[in-house]
Amino acid sequence: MTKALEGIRVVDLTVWFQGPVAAQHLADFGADVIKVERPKGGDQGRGVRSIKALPIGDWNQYFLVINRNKKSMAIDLKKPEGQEIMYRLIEKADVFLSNMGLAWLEARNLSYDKLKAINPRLVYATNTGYGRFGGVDKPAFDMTVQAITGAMARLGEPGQPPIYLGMGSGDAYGGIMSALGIMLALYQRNRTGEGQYLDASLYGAQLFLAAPYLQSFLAGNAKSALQHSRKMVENPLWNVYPTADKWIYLCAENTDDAFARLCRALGAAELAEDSRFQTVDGRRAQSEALVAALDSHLEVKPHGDWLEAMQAQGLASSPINNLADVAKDEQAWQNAYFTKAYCEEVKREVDVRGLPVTLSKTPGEVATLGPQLGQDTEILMMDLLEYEWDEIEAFKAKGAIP
Amino acid sequence: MSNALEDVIVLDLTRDFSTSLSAAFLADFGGRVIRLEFLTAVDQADHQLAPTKGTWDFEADLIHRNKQSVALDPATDKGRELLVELTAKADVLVTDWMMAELAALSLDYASVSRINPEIIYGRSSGFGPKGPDKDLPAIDELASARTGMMPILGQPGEPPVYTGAGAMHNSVMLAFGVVTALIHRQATGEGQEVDTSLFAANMYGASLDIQAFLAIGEGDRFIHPISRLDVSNPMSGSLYPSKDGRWVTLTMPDTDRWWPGLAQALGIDPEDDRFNTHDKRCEENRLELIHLFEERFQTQPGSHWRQVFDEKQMSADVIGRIATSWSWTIPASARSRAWGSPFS
Amino acid sequence: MELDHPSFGKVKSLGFPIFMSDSPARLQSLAPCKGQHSGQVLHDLLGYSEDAINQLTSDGVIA
Repeated sequence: MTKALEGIRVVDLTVWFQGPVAAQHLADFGADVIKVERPKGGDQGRGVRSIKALPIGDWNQYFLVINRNKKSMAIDLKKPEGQEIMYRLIEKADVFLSNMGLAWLEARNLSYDKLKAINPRLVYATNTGYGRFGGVDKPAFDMTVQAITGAMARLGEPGQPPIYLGMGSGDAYGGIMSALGIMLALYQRNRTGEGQYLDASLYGAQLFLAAPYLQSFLAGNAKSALQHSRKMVENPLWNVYPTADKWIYLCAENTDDAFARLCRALGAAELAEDSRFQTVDGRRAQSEALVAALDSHLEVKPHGDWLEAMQAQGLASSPINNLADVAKDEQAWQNAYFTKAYCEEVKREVDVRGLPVTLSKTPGEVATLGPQLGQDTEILMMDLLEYEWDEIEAFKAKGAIP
Repeated sequence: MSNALEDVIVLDLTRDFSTSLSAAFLADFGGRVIRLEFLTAVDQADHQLAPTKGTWDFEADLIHRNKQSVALDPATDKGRELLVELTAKADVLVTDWMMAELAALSLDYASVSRINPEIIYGRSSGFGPKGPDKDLPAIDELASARTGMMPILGQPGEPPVYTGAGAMHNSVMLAFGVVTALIHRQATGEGQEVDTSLFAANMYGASLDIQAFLAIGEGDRFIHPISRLDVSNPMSGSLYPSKDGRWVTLTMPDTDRWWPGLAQALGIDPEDDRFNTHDKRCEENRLELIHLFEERFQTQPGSHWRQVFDEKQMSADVIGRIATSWSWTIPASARSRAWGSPFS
Repeated sequence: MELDHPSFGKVKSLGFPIFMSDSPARLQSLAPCKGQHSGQVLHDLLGYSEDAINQLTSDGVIA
């Protein structure tokens, strides 16, 4: 089957997560993504040995999944000869993507101006931490950025510590944002023949991750920046509730009809008649009492019973699952949100995060997991960059390639 | 200056924040996005966001900016004819409607592609186009609940946490899919369907946890919340209260690089032989170090630590509420971005 | 970024998360009112005449 991005070549000079995952989206849809790594150790993501203080397992799922469908070249870009190879690669490329600092790129003669001069059709994309302007050049890690966008501070019960949106969630967002930017620039390039510079900063992306609350805050609603308790909500019919086993999420509008159906589902006739909860405004004003009442009803039976009863009454609700539940969720497997891929490292099929975006005629796929460091250096030097073997030997002698 | 999508006409048939924002991204970059609004309700479930009278509708101006609006009555023959004419002219249709609603207006992919085979038909659903839950409503809370992260985001004993981040991932994923399909169409002329879902988006946002669980397949640390006093790396992903109650967060996975500076700032001897290697800090004496940090960070207020982090350009911060972060936390560089000047 | 709202004056809003050097995102207009561009779209995209558009409006097909 054809691929959406067939014929698009991407030079992927990225490390860790945000940059690599941006390129991974392009690779999933068939772009020829060539990851360029330092010869010594490569992308630092290769060195991840544990996650959450648990050993990473017998294959490096951190690196190999984020870098799936890619090739790898090991080039020492500190050496002029390494830069020379890079320039030849840039001549053949459509996209250059890097999440290294701008000063780092400048020091290796890989600035936008330099690469544009080599290839005016090039889309040059960076993922800076805090945007391209001003003097902030400190490393931008996901959690630090979440901390300053205010996304963390509004979550959790009042008085509880701020809540991190999850390991790498902001990086993931910056990654897809970057991939979108590259697609926009490529679309334009295909029409006009001109490449351009684009930047999707982790910070800029993360502002959008908090968008619904941030926009409300900017409009003057100071409360949207504060922690809110589940015990006192605007609409008690749209809330999380504990049952005898796991928590559930009930998502119903605050209407008389929905409340009547909820009371039927719970078999709670006295609640249906409680004078405090007869109207929309009453349920809102008395939300603390109503949440407490619903808590004590729901606590007595397991979630399965309640969900069935709610479904019978046409109320939307869901179990609040854990990762063990999602790993076997039929819905995720049927939609290829999970898939299987062969892992060279352990010589068996492994379960991997699949394809969250589906294109019906040119679907993405997970053809290979991440490459070995520099596995394609020589073949690409010969086939793509058209170096002679003695030239390659000379590059090796100079230490530009291993 | 030009616009990336200046030759692209998009029909916006959306009602949820996430998908409407997706179409707004296309509009921001020059697509002519025409929002379809109906004069008669096509379905009881058509709960359009009620405009709040007299105050700025900040939400609409975020998710519908740069769009045009066409209002028509699909209950009339001529109204339906106009829909057909619009679909024939469109390059892209973006929707979050249910399959049955779309079919009732002949706006499902099969009908639309008969009129316009080259159209890119982008649809976001709750749980994806296949499987037992394909017709569940597109409510981000339901999708988030299925993703496995809600129970582990908070501290032990606390209620599950809904962040809303999945809906934001979905906005960008759909726009990415649509523009990717447009690029394929540039090359081949072929139109197609693009699908994303809130479930997929929530899962994507949780990539690292989910992938680690798939590979490691066990471990309480993936299933139950980890106390902030039990983080796997005391210097990364950790939170400590300062003297005035503001929270300090450290993100220094490479502890060797940061240890001497951080230790000094906290009045700890960098050579202290309980903590002088990465392994000692993150394994052998991890809990001891966490407790030491806990004690030391409480000796000074948040403002002190912020100053220290800024001076030493450390990958660490003091968590502000949005309120404070807007006034003084944001680096000048980022502020210019957020306030839009680089875009004018 | 700051934007000038016709009814509410200067208000603050989120900007754009992607910077592009040659085709940057731009704020051209705020959210449209329902049907604000019905006539315009029918005219310049679908080729309807002004008379036809007026007729459709008075028939209640568009607004």
